[in-house]
Amino acid sequence: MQKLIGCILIFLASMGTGFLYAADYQKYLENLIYLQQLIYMLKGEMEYTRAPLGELFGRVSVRVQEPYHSWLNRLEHEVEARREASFPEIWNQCMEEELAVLHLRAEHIIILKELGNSLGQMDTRTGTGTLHLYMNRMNLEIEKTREALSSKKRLSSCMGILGGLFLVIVLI
Amino acid sequence: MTVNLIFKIAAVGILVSILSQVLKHSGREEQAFLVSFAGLILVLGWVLPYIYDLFLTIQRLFSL
Repeated sequence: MQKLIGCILIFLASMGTGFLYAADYQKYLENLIYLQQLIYMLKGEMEYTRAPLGELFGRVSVRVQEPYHSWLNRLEHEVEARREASFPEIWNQCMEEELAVLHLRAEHIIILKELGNSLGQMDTRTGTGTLHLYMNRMNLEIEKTREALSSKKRLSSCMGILGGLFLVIVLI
Repeated sequence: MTVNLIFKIAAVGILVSILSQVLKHSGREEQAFLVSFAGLILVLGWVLPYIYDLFLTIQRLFSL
């Protein structure tokens, strides 16, 4: 009886792990889409208000959820403090610390860092153009992630179930 | 050696082949190979003591 309960628990745990991995991937896609929307808001604010970067981040931060809210707030404070660090350094540091919870993949971190490198150096028109370019790149990444999503979900659920069965047979 | 071992080996074989096919169809051929290899090592691990006993028995039987 105990063996049977143990087997059922192991199988359920393994199956749950597979489904959790699939759900994580779905959440990652949603995070990418939200990031794109955030950049769209920044672009909109830049075009409409033509405010300096610090103020821009402050305006957008009240309209977004965590962790983006903390990230933009920190960016606003760091930029307005006008310490000796350059804007790309401030951007990269805030991004690495505040957005670490998103567990972005290396290629997406690089894209975000490249945005920070171009953002603080130009006039408003070039800045909005840069943001537009970034949004197009994010669109491509989102499409790639979305295409891979269904097969990864199926694969991880399958692996979870079969892995659970495998463990049960090995441990019996 | 009980019949259970044969059933376990059969179940592992079926699961490994299904897993291998699923991974191959998803384009992960290296992982499919690793799964097959892991299944082979596992079954060998179960069967090796009996093979060793078999050789010992043959040795004793023919006084080699």
